[in-house]
Amino acid sequence: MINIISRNIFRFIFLILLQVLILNNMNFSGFVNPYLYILFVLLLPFETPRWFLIFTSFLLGLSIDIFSDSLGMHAFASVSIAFLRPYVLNFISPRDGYEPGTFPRIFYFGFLWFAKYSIIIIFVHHFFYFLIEAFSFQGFDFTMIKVFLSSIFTFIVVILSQYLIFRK
Amino acid sequence: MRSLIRLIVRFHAFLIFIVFEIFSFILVVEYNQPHKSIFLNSSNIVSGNIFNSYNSFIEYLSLKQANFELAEENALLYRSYKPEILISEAFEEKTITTNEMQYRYIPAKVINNTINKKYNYLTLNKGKSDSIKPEMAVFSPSGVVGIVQNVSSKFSSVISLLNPNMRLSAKIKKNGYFGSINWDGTDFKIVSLNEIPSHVIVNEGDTIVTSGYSAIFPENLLIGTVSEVENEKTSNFHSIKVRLLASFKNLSYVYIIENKLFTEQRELENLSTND
Repeated sequence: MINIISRNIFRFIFLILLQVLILNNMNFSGFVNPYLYILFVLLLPFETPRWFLIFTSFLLGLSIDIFSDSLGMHAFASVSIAFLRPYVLNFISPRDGYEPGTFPRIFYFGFLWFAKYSIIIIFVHHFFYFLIEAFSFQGFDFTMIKVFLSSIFTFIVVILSQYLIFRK
Repeated sequence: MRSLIRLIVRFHAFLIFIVFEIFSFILVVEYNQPHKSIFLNSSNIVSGNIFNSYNSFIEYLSLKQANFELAEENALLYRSYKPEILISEAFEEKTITTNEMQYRYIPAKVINNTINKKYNYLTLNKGKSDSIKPEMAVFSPSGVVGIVQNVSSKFSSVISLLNPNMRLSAKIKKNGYFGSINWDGTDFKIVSLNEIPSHVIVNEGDTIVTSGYSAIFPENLLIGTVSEVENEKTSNFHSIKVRLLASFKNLSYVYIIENKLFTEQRELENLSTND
């Protein structure tokens, strides 16, 4: 239990630093940017209370915002995925539910399950983030292009991280 | 009380979610400057576009009236058009006086209009992109309508003559005595003309026009005709009711007047008021 908490705190700090120091500077063709930090929300244990999920996601988003001068935008998007996460998990749950002692990872539930799970969460996050960044429905098509390209990119990085760092 | 607590416990996640989302949203609007202006502006664009599309349905109903008004106006212009003068003037070398080029007329369409509120405003389909600025005059062929107050990129809101905040300098056409026009907020056909001294003879049916004493309106634009004159013995001024010529109920096309010397005049006036 203590182990899980300390691991998550470490992951929280590590992902924020990774995001603001390295990934935020990766602007492919000007606007395509992976937002790997939401991996923290993706990987929290199944048993996390919902209020705690929302609260930590807010802190996560706010920290990213403070570093990238976009106060409120990442926080908004992160809180929305934290709220949605239990519903998504419910929606794509395997036939016999989630066994205790398992975590939302490729290792436990396979690539297909994890891909479905992460694609939904990533897309929702990016959608809200870019929409609130543009802050208008003018040029909505361009916003959607940004959402799709960045989502694909984030998805690739999330999957890679599953095989490279957070293997178990 | 117990059921309320049970309700809060049951929906605690949703409530926390709402609280945090609102808080983030406030942060976004408060601390990101461009968003602040877009927030105000985008709502303006949304409402403007809604009005615009609504108006494109409604305008068919008033097409006959609009055509009639435009035809009337054309007739008026034909009457004042004297071909021989224009031709001879065209070949004469002459300096254009500032008066002739001082005003520019921009046609616009009324896409929203109220007459039944206390503070009435109109929305026009021309905005910043058509070089409309605040404090430009708006008039319809039949009379003065109002003054542009706020401008977005494509729309402008006009403070109507039917608004107690609107003051307009006006004069009696036949003798030139001037006063100020003000609406009392009751009848959309009647405004009152104040500050005309009681020794001046005013008859029903006299024409009231703009005085041209402000930088906004040119001189001699029609406002209305005198419908009622009351002479109170205790007062040194008439209280005059003026029947408006512009029918605010079915305004469709109006003109926005740009005074090209507006800033120059204002600066000069400010200089003397500062003394």
